[in-house]
Amino acid sequence: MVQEIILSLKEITKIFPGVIANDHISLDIFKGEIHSLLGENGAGKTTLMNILYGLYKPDKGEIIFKGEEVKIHSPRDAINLGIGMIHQRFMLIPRFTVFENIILGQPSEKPPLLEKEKLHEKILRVAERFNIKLDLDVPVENLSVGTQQKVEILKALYQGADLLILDEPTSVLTPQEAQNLFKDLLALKEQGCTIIFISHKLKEVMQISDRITVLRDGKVVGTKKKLETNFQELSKLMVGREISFTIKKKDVQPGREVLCLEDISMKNKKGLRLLKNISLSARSGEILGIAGVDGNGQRELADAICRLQKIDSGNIKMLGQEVSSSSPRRLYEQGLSYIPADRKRYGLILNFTIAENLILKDYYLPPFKRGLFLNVPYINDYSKKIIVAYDIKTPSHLVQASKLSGGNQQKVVLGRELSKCPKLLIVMEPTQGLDVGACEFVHNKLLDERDKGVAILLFSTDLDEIMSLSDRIAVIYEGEIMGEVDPRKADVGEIGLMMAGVKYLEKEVVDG
Amino acid sequence: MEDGSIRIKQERYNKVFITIIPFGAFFIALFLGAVLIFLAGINPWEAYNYMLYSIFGNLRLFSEVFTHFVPLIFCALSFAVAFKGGFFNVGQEGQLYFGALTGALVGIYIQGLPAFIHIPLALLAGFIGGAFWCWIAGILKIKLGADEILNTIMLSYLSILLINFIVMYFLKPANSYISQSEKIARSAYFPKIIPNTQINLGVILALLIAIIVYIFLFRSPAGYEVRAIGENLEAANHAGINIIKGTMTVIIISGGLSGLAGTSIVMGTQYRLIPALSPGYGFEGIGAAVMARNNPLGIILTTFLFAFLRVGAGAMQRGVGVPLPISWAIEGIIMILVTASEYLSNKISANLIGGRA
Repeated sequence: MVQEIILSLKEITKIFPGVIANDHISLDIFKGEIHSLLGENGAGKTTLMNILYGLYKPDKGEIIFKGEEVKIHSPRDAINLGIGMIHQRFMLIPRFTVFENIILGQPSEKPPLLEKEKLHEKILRVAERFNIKLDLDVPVENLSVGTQQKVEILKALYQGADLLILDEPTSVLTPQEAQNLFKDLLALKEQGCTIIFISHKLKEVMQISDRITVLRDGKVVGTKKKLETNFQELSKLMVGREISFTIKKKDVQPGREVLCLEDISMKNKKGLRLLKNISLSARSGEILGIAGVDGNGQRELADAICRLQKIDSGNIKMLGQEVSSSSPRRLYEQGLSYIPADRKRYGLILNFTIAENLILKDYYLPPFKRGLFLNVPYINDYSKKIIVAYDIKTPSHLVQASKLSGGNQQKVVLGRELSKCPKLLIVMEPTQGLDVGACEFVHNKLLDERDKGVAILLFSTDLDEIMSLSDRIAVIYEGEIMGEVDPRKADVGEIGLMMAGVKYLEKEVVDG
Repeated sequence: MEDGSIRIKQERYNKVFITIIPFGAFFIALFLGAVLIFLAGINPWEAYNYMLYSIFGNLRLFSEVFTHFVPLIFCALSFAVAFKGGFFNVGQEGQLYFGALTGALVGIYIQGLPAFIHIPLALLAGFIGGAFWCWIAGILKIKLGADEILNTIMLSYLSILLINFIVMYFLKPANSYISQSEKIARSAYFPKIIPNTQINLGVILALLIAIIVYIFLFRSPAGYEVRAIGENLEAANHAGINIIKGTMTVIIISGGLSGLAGTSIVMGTQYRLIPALSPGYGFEGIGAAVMARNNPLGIILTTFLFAFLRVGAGAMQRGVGVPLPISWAIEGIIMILVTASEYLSNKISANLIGGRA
């Protein structure tokens, strides 16, 4: 079968000071295919696409689009050629309606008049053709993230794009929304659109693509047809070594109860219930997974346990003691470790050095403190040890945390929280935005802690992660626990329903 | 000494480069200043020469540099500490006046103490006065979330006018026509280090406190806490740091340092409280702190430069007729270029470490 090549990149090279982001990349995209660019963070996927979209200028190489060599100097050029890009962060104005956002930036046909009705019609026709259902007159801020993404796609199509670039489109979506997106993408393909799909998630790439190009360290390491490849091969290409997908877990041996929540409720200032009568317990040596779509009270629950937010009613007991009169610091001293979700915002001080970040919770205690001063030599030795133990890739312990990659940043947080031998560990989204290698590292560390007898409360929106790590799973929806299941017996559909708010009736007692 | 600090140390090649850049900017600014002086019809070479020789060749003028240096450095440190702790205190001027008031009261009304008790006591009073004035803005921020930039500025006007009023109606001796207080007791005078000059105990005190502030910020747990709050409030909170206590510490120290600026003028130069105590040290101190990137040791350099230019501007006007506004413009150009050059060196250091794709 001979396929028409719509886009061909030849020897594209882009050098940033100190790093070769794209190293002689050559790539052909067939018309009407879904082509994935797979690679770890920093492999050069986004840089390559930014070059194609006119955001960066390549140092070398040529772009041949629809048979002609083109020079793309700006996104405007790209749009005129028919290339549309959906960024990881949407470029929409929240207060504008869908309609206003779509026509934004498009010159009117009869300036200074804006023929709203005519444009409205035109957009509807495009939407109909690609089978995208959207209400054009709703302000974008009222839409869910998945729908906002649809707006972005419709906007690109309306501007005449027949090659769509999606940069990590599922990173902001729930599993269900992601499936809907895939359906839409397949429909677009039917209509003759070509799609470049950027991702570091193997599973998605295997589901949606026709062909897959793997990038590593700025180079193309292989292009495969989906039907002729598998997980193992792709991951090996991507990381450069074998990755085990099946997590080896020892049998659970739960010990005494470390955390006990009784009937916890929390309201916000407006009186809205954020947590409703939550009762849970976690024992040492087990991982209690808390599944749920983002924003259903996970953060509030974790913060409540750490006493960072006050609860309105209920009891929290850690190691048999009531925590309601404690401060976060007291709890940390008693053996609580908390790894919050957004590490850049809550877990790290980005302008501090690695050494400074490693002592963030202990700086006031000996031996980190000596007399009135920080014990600098000790802190330095300590940091070097942690850097080795947690395999943090950095030239020195005096490098700012902001200069590290996401995976290494998370290792700094892990190093800080785990090295003080916690009894209770609360982890939120521990692998969000991390590449495969770093995920594996984090998962293994968590399992090590579990085997050492730590009680772990794992909050994650990534159902695969919850399923593979947890010994028990509780599902949270709008601040309420919908049910508790055993991961060995439960199926994903059941949990998915609970995540969407359907209560699990026949609660089974799960024991180890 | 690889292990001397837990702050980042750049690799040597870019460190040298980065240190050179601000100096380069400084000389470009001097050159642009020369152009301005030339446009005013004066030989710039002669003007600059005159400034240097008159200051370094004349002990009286040279010592005058230090009368400006002492209050300036306290104000700059005050801004720097607050900035590091995430509190934008721009009310140095008002806190200076209030610290001068409390310091002067102790100097005037407590008599008969030996100097080694009277001096620290007056300084403490000045510290408390400045700290109190800053605390008002601080408590408004902590309790009500009121913007401290606005409040510290407004409180400055209030303080200056209040001190004016107090001097006029309460502290002025009944038989005097000049609006000024009585002199403070001899025992509260800063002793001179070099006789017949303005180089007194205040200079040593200022340098010492700059070093202490540096050690506090970068080597003590309390200073670490302050910097953590200033860099990322949310992360500090999640780490269990008491935000309110930390912020209060910063507010007290920052206000207190500004208070010391005022007290040091009273005890070292004026020996009494007068309404026109400060020709804008508070605001100039902020400039010096920003230029030094709020590093207490850098502040020693930048405040000295500012004090020098202040005296030099007067000298150039008297000696070769360079109008004062031109000198102010030169000072402004230096500030802008040096500050801007820091962004350049930041960018260079980021690039050398390696951009991320």
